[in-house]
Amino acid sequence: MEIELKPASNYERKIFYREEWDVKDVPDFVMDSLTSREFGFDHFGQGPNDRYKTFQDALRLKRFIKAKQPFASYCSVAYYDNPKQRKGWQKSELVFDVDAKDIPIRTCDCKEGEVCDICLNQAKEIVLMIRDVLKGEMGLKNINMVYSGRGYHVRVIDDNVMEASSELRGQIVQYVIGAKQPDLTNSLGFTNLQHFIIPFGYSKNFTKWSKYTILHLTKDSKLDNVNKKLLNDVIKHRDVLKDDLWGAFRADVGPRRFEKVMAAVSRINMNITDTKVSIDLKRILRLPSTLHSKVSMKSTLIKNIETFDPFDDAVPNFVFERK
Amino acid sequence: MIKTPYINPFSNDAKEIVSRLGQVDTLDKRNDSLMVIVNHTRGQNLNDPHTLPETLKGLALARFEWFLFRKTSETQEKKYEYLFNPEIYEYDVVSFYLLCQAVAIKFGPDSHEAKMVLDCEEEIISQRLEILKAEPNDFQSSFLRKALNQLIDTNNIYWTDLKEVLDLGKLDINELLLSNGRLVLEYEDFIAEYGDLIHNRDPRTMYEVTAGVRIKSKLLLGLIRLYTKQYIETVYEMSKRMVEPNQILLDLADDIKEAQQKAQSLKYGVAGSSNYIDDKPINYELEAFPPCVRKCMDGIKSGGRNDAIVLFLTPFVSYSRLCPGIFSRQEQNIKISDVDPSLDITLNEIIPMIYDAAESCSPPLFKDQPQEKININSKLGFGLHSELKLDNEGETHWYTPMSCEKIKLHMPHLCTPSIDCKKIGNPLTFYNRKRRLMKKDNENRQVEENGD
Repeated sequence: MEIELKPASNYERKIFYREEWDVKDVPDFVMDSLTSREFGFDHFGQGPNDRYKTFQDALRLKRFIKAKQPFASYCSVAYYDNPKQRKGWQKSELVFDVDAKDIPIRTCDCKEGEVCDICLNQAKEIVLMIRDVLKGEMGLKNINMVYSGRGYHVRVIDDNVMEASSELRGQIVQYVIGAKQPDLTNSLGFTNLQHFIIPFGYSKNFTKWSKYTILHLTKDSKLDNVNKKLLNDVIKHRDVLKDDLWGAFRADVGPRRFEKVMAAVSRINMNITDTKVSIDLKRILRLPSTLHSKVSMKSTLIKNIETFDPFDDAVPNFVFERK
Repeated sequence: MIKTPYINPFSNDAKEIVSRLGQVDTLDKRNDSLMVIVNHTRGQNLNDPHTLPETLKGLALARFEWFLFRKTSETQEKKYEYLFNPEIYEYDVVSFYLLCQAVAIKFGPDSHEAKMVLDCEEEIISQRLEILKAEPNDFQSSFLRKALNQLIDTNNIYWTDLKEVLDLGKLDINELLLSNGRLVLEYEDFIAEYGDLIHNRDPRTMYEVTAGVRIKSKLLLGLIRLYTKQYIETVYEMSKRMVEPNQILLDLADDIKEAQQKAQSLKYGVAGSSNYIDDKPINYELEAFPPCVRKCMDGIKSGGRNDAIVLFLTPFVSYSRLCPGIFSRQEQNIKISDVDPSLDITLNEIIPMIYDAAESCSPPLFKDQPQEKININSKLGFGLHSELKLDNEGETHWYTPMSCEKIKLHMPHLCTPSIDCKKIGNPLTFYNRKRRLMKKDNENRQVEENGD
């Protein structure tokens, strides 16, 4: 059955919260810190303007959501001494927000604001790459993946990083998504060093993301300072990158033009996640288990990302009952 | 032979020196052996003997003065040559602590003076590390290893242990080699971790290019800055419990203030240079606006309209018209009425420019989000009110333009750097620099035309 990502009616919302939603589906990482978090709700589809809410226990949260059947529910990434006033900030999850509709290198034919299985799949690939860097190079633990309804959230609950400042989070994001061209200046006087000859560290990460970006460019992609002709040349010669033949690619495109392309690619990489979300210490994020009413999908904590399919695992029952 | 305390004042040897030579009663007394080192420093300018330090307190002040005046002329630099004579290391360490204490007690850890001491220490150590570069690579590497190991374990350190150093912004996380969170800093760890990946290239060269002495030096500088900052904070906290601070420290603090004022009058007293760091209203020069501002003024077509107009454009448009030199002022906490008392410029030029840009957005910003007009007033320092009234001024803070780094993270779609953006950290700095260059160009053109 083809799933249509259309808004849920008020009746469908009511049915969902009455019959399907269970407070036990709210992830442990939220419930374990329930009293330290701020909750926010959007009751009418106009944005989360019912904020500064707090809940003492699961029962109260359950009663509120069952009674209000909100259009959208959120909870803070931050832990506070006094969440009701958002005072006494203690720490915040480190978050990466990959929204399928905002991926700058979508290969599908979706219109602005829409998502489909192709771009949702691309979002999943990106999330997997993010997870690998967080786990492998950064050595972070307790990395949770959440399907948000139109994309994915990576939520890191590792005390080693939760007290990080906004500035440091900015650095982490740039590292994780390869959003900065590596600085290869060195005391040995090598002036023509290329990131792709360094098979480790940030250079390797930047090379990996750049390869992903270049291989997903389309003729309609917009790259700063890259004209149509250069974009077409990049697309024409990019297949060698599948075998990691960067030297050949650089030679085909031309060293100077290659520089231009890499500068533009790093800026595309920067837009792969919503960096604003990652550096905001007091952000509220969609509460896993609740309904994304704009697309009739459930925000879902993912147990196994490799096998997760939103169209199998995050569709509320009422969608199957639609005529 | 360079000793560790010469580079790292927080090493164990340095602490031992302080307990040996740091007796309070000797700090302001003539120190003959210090004078011998100063007078026998190669290349030392001895023309002004009375300016050479005779006491440890004098040496502390000299460190600070070097930082303030080193760029004024080459002779100034030569006046402080002794600071770069490794033999001075024992007295240098004591004077470093003296300087920190004086600043902490009199001005506190958040003061401009404390920040200058941090910059000063970083600059001195940085220059000394340059001297170290004359030594063979192996020596540099093992010296830095020793210096670093007094602060961290270079074979077993995680990047998360260095969060405070990274927060200082002098070292970027993407410069570090990381594996499972562990920092790969030493050559033997580098080989163990990446040796198998390196083919047809010299591993030692690869190590030096990607980590090696460069990263060790940067890390050491970062750690010293952090430890200095923490030391100043500790002394400040302790000083609050003190009955009466030591007079030598208070005198030194007064000398520091005096030197700082002298440097300031030298910097801003020179005619001509202040034209482009104005702290009074000047007419817009739209051609000098940076690409991000122009893009924003053309209207935002996709998401992020609110942040672009309210957080980004409003501060830029207001400061560039009313006080483009805000970042050169010591006191940055100013109000619009300080520079535009009648609010004429604000109401007739600044607000219309912001509203025009908001109107050019797609959809026009105020059409669906009229509340953003209030937010704009709030960012101009007039509180959350629908009208700009002097009575409300000060309820909120007049936001300064955000840095390029922040723009890249907050609104990446706005940042399309041009060649002029190189080495620029803030759009307002771009504007000031560009105006200066444009004026220079105009003058040159006029000279050429007159010549014809």
